[in-house]
Amino acid sequence: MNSIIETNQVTKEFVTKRGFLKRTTSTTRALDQVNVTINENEIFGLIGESGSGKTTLGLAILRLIDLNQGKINFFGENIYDLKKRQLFNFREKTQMIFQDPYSSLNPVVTIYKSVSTPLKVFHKEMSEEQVVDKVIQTLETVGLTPADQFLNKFPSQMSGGQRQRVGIARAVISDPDFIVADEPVSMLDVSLRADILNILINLKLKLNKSMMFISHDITVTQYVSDRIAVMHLGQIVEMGESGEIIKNPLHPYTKTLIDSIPVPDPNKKWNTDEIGGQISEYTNEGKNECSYANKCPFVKDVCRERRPDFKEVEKNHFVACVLYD
Amino acid sequence: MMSFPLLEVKDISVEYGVDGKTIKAVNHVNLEINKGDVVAIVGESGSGKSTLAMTFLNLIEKPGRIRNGKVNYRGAKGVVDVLRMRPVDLMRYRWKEVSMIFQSAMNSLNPVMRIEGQLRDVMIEHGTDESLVDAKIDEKLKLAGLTTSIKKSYPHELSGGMKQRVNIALALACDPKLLIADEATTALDVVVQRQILTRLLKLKQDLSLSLVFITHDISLVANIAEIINVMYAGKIVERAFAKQLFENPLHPYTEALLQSIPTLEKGTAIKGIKGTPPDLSKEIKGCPFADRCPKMFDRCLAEPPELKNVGDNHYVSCHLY
Amino acid sequence: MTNVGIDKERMEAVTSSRPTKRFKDFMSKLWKHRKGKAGLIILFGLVIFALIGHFAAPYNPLANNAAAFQPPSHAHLLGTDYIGQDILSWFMVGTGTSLVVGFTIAILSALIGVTVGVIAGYFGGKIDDVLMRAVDVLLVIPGFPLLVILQTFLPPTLETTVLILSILGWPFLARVIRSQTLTLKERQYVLASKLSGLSGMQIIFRDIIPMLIPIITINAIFIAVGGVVAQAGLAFFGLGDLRSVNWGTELYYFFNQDGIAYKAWWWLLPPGIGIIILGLGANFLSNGIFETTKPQKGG
Ligand SMILES: Nc1ncnc2c1ncn2[C@@H]1O[C@H](COP(=O)(O)OP(=O)(O)OP(=O)(O)O)[C@@H](O)[C@H]1O
Ligand SMILES: Nc1ncnc2c1ncn2[C@@H]1O[C@H](COP(=O)(O)OP(=O)(O)OP(=O)(O)O)[C@@H](O)[C@H]1O
Ligand code: SF4
Ligand SMILES: [Mg+2]
Ligand SMILES: [Mg+2]
Repeated sequence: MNSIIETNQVTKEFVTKRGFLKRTTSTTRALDQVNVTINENEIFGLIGESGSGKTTLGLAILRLIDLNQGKINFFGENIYDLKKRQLFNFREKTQMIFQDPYSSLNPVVTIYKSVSTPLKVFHKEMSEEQVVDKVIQTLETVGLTPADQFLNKFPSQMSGGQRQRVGIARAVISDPDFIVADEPVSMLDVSLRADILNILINLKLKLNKSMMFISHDITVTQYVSDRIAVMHLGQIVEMGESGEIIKNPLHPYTKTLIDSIPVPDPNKKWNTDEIGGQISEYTNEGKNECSYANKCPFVKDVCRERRPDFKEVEKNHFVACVLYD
Repeated sequence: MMSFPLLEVKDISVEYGVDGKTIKAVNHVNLEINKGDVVAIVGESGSGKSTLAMTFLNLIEKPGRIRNGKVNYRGAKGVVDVLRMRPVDLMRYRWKEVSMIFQSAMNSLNPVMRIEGQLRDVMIEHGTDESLVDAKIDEKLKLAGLTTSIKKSYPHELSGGMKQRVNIALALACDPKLLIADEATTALDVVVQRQILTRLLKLKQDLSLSLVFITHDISLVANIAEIINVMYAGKIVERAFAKQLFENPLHPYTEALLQSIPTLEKGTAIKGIKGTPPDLSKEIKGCPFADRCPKMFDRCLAEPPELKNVGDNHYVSCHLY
Repeated sequence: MTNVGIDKERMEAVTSSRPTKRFKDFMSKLWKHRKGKAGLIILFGLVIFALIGHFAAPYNPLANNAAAFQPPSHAHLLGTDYIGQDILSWFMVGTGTSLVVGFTIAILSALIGVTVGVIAGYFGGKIDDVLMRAVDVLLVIPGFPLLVILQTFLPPTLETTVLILSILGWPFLARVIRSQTLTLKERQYVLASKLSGLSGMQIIFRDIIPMLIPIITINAIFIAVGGVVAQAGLAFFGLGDLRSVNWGTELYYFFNQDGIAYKAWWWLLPPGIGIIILGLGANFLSNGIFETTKPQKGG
């Protein structure tokens, strides 16, 4: 299998200036030595805590932010070394579905203009008629029917789920090889969601495309993904075949995550006594300890002494936790 | 439970006029929310859920128009129609009585103002004692599952889920009596989501906070909601207690919806619902679900079904019943 | 692959993105805003007044065949000045010149200010450093003395005045625009545009400048008023083209040709009131634009 994306020790720090006259600064390590490989013709799922760096990784892979360290190869070539012309070729092959369908559509640009732009830029040979045709077709496949009615609309005239589908249409219309899909179905009801997920899966099955699928919905992620990686405070803490991760989670964080998946059973109401647990009280400052040490029920002294190695514990199943050393 | 409801929506209709067409986004909807209720509104994308929720706050703006109906709120001074409130009262009513986490939450923070300032503004504007504000900001941020250190951040420095949590904190800033959460947790991982929602449920228990959840996450609804409303094409087509709805869905749309819930079993294909929702700018003669409904019969095309009680406070709008 | 038929009408509907419609919506909103409406009416009124003056002033403002220092009368509604020129005619024609001066200064300053601000903000790095350094320099130089100096060395025409005032008008705007651009370029739709293969300049025209239009307009209005006042100020000191008919020269002659001694209030009032009305209208209008275009905060 060929890799399409390969990240090598990718680190991204955000330095923000705080306080009066911006004297003090604080540093968040959003990505901390991340190594992932996404294969051709693969859907790679990424789940993890809110704020753990999933979106940042997606942006990094598409060269939409600058890195502090590490490199990212696209078909073996470091995308951060690309020159203007090559960068354009790279852009042609990649796309992203943004997490927030509200801020990712320009409010004064019509739906037609938004969706048609990638086509017009990357497929200059197409006539205006062909572009209109293709836009209509794509909008209809994502369930915006009748498409005619949406073409001239502005984003503010559409519901959240409708905007999300505009974002999906924009990402798939120019036929890219690799897509970062960041929470692409979070605002779609289960019935529509099924259609959209099947469209994404068919990109892989029928057109041999690859994808990074970011979602907090683990059920959905495992449904579409071949492999899943779990992120926590900027680090990949577990990675493996998707069925395996769900059935046999190893890392304590993954276990908590999977235990917390809501089951659609009205008899299992949530208990208000179970409150507790610190939430996201910690940010990654690059300390030399396990990123989960502060919350882990199994924490030992060694966990605070060094970072656990990311090791293959079972075949194709990697985990970073001292319990498996 | 015969007390007068906290919020009563009566026969409300909302239209959007776009390009000379009229989109009937909400169509003669009735709804009651009692003190301490946890109500869910689910339904297809574009079915009018957000629009309906906006009417609770009298927030429909051009090109939208409320055609008819009332939104009665029972406040300290008796029952008032929110749609006819004076602007000053409306200002107090929003945030302090009823507040909303908007679906656009990630995008609705002021980009050039630190989080702290935004919370402070809302609190001060609504009469929170200046000396208490700082403590309250911290309290609300923690309630929403955030470290207090993020209050010095600007919105663009936060992740999607962190922004959503800031909006949750904002909505709780003035201790409202009713909180409407429109897709408020779409970017939260299940652990954080559960922690925040149980805290909200605790507020409901302790302070009788009423909660309205608009969400696509049916599993979540099952775990938290007491009453579920199912919307389709601008109408509520079914309403029941959560247990009833899940065990005995009556409306064919609800049935299809529940069937398309994905499970963790590998290999089971996720099914959608065939067909597309109706064009809301056209007159619908019969049942809006008719052309997708497997149980459709002659009458469904001829006349629109009414929402009626079929026993045990289970309401459904379908000619089968 | 193409089974969806395209008719011409639909093509047209799709390909025109209807900026006129947006403008219409904006105007109707502005019209509903009390101050916005007042501002529009005042400024529009001034323009009409100037147009009438241009085509139908009762006298040639430079014709001096009446008696000097006459108070208002039927023949000369606003009286006459030191050499018997009709003040109403002078004022009407002068309004036109002053407005054109203000408008031109605003346009030129906005062009330079927006270009510099947007490019500095969007591209950042070295370009930003260089451009902003230039802005800083221009901002710390005290404006009026510089004006006086330049004005004395350059040919004393109205065009020179306009040019000088434009050069002094843009740096502040560039600052404002740059800081706005910095936040605008963080928007996700800018990333989306990058992914769509658009170049930096294309993104600027599509995702940045349209969002800046209200702020540019508001600032341009103030620059225009500032320009009118500054030109008047210069004229007042006898700088610039004194043969041009405008509010500034009117004031200049009033003070230098015994206007005070003759207590010729009818001579002083028109340009004074003109400036006040212009300032008021500009203030109302920019207030209206600000209120109707600021992003709504929900809830
Ligand atoms: N532009 C920025 N400036 C400063 N900090 C940032 C910036 N972007 C992201 N961060 C920080 O980096 C961390 C990771 O953010 P990211 O958006 O990647 O999280 P995420 O995993 O996508 O979370 P979510 O699921 O909530 O969307 C967060 O702590 C966030 O505050
Ligand atoms: N400002 C607007 N102008 C015109 N049409 C609008 C406007 N807002 C919403 N609509 C239309 O009204 C209908 C209902 O929208 P609404 O936002 O209430 O849906 P929703 O049920 O919240 O959907 P979602 O789950 O996707 O958020 C949609 O068809 C939408 O296109
Ligand atoms: S009324 Fe008819 S068409 Fe509508 S849901 Fe019921 S059976 Fe189906
Ligand atoms: Mg994210
Ligand atoms: Mg909605």
